[in-house]
Amino acid sequence: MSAALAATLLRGSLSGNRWRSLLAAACIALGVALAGAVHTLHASALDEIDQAARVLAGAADWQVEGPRNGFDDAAYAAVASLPAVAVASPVLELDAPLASGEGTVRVLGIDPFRAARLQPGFLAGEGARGGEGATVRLDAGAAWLTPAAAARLSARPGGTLRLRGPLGEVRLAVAGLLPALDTGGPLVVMDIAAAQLAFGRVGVIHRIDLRLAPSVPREAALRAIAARLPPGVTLRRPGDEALRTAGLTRAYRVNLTALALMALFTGGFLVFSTLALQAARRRREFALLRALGLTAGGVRAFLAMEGALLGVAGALAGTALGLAASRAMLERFGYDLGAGFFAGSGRVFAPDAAALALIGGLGVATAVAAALAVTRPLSRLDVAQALKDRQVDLPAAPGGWAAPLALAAAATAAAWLPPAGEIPVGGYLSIGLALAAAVLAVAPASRALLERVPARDRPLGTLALAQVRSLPGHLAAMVSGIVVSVALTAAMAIMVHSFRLSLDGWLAGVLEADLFARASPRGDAVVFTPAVQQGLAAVPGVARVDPIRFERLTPEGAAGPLTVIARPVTPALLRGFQAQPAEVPPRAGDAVNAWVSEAAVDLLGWKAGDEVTLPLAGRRARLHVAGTFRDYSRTWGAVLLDLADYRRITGDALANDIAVHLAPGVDAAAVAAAVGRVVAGVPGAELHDASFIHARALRIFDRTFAATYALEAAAILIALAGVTSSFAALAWSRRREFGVLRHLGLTRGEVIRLLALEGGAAGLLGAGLGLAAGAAVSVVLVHVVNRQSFHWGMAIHWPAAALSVLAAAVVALCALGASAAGRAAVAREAVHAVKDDA
Amino acid sequence: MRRRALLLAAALLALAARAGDYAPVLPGLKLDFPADYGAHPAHRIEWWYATGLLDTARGPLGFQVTFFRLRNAAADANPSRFAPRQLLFAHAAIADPAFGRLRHDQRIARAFAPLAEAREADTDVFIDDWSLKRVDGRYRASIPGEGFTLDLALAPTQPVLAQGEAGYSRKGPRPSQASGYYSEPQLAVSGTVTVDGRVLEARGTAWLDHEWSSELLAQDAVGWDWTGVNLDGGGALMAFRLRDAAGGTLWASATLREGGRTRTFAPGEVKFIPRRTWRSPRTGTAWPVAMTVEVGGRAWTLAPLLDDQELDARATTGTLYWEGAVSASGPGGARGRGYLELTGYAGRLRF
Repeated sequence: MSAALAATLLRGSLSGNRWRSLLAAACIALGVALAGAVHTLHASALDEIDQAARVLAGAADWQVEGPRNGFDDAAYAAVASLPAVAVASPVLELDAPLASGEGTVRVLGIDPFRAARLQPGFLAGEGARGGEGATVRLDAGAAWLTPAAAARLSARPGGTLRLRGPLGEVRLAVAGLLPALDTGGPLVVMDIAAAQLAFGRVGVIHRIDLRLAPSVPREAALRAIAARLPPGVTLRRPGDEALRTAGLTRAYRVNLTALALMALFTGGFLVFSTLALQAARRRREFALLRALGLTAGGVRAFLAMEGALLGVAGALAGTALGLAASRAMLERFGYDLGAGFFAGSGRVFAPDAAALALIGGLGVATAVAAALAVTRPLSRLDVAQALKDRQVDLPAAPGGWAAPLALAAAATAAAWLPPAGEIPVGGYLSIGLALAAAVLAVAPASRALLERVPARDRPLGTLALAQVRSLPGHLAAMVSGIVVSVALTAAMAIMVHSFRLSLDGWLAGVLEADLFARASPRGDAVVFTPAVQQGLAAVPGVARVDPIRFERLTPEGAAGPLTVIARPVTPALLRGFQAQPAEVPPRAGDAVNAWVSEAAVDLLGWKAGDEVTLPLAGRRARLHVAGTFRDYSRTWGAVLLDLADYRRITGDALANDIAVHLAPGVDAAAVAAAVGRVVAGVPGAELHDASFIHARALRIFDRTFAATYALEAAAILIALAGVTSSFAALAWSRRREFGVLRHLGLTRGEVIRLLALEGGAAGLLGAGLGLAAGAAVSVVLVHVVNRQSFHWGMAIHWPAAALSVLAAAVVALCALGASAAGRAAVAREAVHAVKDDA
Repeated sequence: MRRRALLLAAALLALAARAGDYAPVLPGLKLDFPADYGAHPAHRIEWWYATGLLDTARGPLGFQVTFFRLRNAAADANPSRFAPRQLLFAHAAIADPAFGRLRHDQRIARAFAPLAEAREADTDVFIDDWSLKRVDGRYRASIPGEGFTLDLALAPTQPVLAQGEAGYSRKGPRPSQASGYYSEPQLAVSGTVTVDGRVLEARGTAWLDHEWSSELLAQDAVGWDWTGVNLDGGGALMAFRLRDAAGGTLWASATLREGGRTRTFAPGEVKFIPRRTWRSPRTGTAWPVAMTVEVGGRAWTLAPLLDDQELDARATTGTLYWEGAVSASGPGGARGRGYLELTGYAGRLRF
């Protein structure tokens, strides 16, 4: 086939189906845009983390890192004095709330002379006054800002910076800027001793940046250093930060990408139905081309080109849309897509060309694959038949139960496959197979169902049933589309509904106290001292306060961190956390009772009855795993300890949160006000009642899933629009048939009603099968994909009302779409229609 | 008396609380060894300062090894182990005529055992691998710097030279403007100097100053000149003056040890007369690198080993000074070798 001929044919076919072609390309574009935006946001966030880690580490080749709350700074002298260590720089790192209450800023407490030996940028600054030399860096009241911090805090050298610490407001004089550290992000740099004192962290550091002595073999050097580190404090490479973040966010990313692939899949279906209907309408045209000498391969190539054209248009538009959307989101919201993984400033925009090309290629491939699926029956075209044939249709769908049943069995089996690298490949495979089974079940199901419907004496119903029952190919393709979109939408709706109700129930149990105080609603710099804790307990009308302390640490041998929750453990609390078993067993020897979250069970292999160790406060604490509990907050795992045990082991009497139980019968509002006055003594701390926190958590949940809801709605609307336009094309191609019906005495209205009935029946069939498949997919989503991605269990809850509305909407829209299409098709006079040599 | 030390002290004023936080140096001070070899942490500022000339296979080399201690009383109240109660600075330089300018390097650290300390019992001051330590009556200087390494032993050949009134050295008209000050002239140096990867055997003569104070600088002083010269035949000459903005002398003093006798000279008996200035191409500063120093009516002419012995450490410690090896010729053909220090020529000091 010559290029010119191909171009002519392509122009003819695509312009003849302008709206359907546009819609198909738009659907591909949506999938490509979503996948591209997710990837770009993530790559940009990791890039910023990586750049910041690199510039701050400077010449450091290793870092010593400990738990979130830091470790004993005696480790610094022990490590720094080793011959294997050329330079050691201690770092205190905090997220301090601004006194204005608007967000937080990262504070680095460093020894500038040590830090400058690894990164001279810590000393090379633009000062408010020049020429004082290095000693001014030690001024306890002075802070140096990166330009990013100065811009964000609207601070200038010579001005004052007001932050919040556990001991009250921390006022710092802005002594100068650190332009060489700009890629480090918004940072407030001050002397480590001053930072320890001002933020109540004397004796604590969070990190030691190291440069190893070149004269000592590296393995020996690392062994010597590790031997001097307390448990829970480990060596790592400065570049590991980005890798670790990537690990933490992988499940989240994969799920968003799966959503994107869903959109692509819908797009692929739309390409298929566009080309299929077209191919059907142009059967004679193709047959003519074949008769004129074009091979079957040539026809196939032509259709593949049509698909590729749609794919390329969609991929290009989608890539541009994805880039624009991610850029806009970066500027508006930062990297965080609502899941709280990234706290970056959003300054780095780093699209990954290779990944975007891959995603775009996937879009093109989907379209080409859909086109090739259309050409398969065409290649079996009998040229002579087709040239005479006036019937416009795809070959009828193959029809047995064997294929869908086999696929359903395979889908069930795939759900039991183990995850690969924390990605639930089995779950996704199972979902794909289940959808394929549902699509293949369309034809046998329609026969099985409709054959049982008795013929009525009303001719319209009989006609419509006959049309749907025999399920010509084009109708089958449309129903398949409805099945897939309804299935995916229903599955997501069931999953989100189940999640929301499970979370709702869990929150009701976990929030078992009346009031909750939080020292650092943002950041981590502010904590409740024992004095504040006692002050709250002494408020008249308060029955009991439960201080809650959080720590984040990496168990020895574990790949990732674990959150330690230390609070008074009571049977009521365990029931609230849905612990199994929900009772406090007697102490077994010197091991401390601990409850582990489902994520800890999955990731660390810890289970009830195990004896494990946890590096707490530089010592190995022996724990007895008394049971498991449910935690919808931390996908990386958590351990629940009794506060008394935690304090005995660590000597740490601080608290991040305090749960306040009121005495029965007191004036709750008055006591809450009194409690509030004590909490107000801690700047920045917040006090809320349980119902407020409960409602806020659900609000955050809804916000997090808002993107999912929006995508769902978009996918179903596009699919329905596709179905409606399919009807339009179909109705147009059946003008002769309608003309005959008019001659036989049917009114125009009756023809339209006939089409509406047909549409409704197809919609009902699609919605029914879709709901069944969606229910199956939702079970996989809840019990396989969610459990393996986020490591938390939940019960399935059926959103009956929402599903009914979905099904009714699909049926109604199909009927409406079909009648609208019919109205257009019968608009012309019947006689013209009969003569029309379609 | 070292200008750079004063510059550092000036910088520290930003940190310092009140003068009352620091122990004063008072008339009647009695040197007490070995304790006075060690650090005096109650005072605001202190230094151990070794300069000398070495003979090597590469020819004559000047060297300077300085450790400063600065007390920051403002940090006393902070219980953190990182609290910068004492800061340590070290400067080292090699004057090499073949190289044409100084090779120099520096270290800065807060005192933090066991990484950086100035110990009290005897001379034992170190920042990481840089150290100056008195062992068995000899000083050991170990300075692995950037581009050069000094590894020297400095052995006294004569008794300690107490400056001023038996170690009480006045720096201004008020009695509290003074330092505890002694020198170790005519130190016999042996060891190695590594330059450009070559390890050179080195022998020579050096001078060590140890000085501590809490109040060094008169209000209107802008800088000062200092020299310490080991005279051939075992004598020693030390002279300094503080200058005001007009270049006039605010205070001066000198000590001359000659033939077993030591004489101290009053401010009126000491004069510094510039003979030649050299302008630094890097900083534009004009330094009087050749001087005539008149002490008690006798003139000593100082000629630099090389003109460019400017040390620019403004980026880190805020100091710019000229610290150079010189040869001295005096009355009756007397000769000697020593160091000249010039400060306050690059603009007014900031206090």
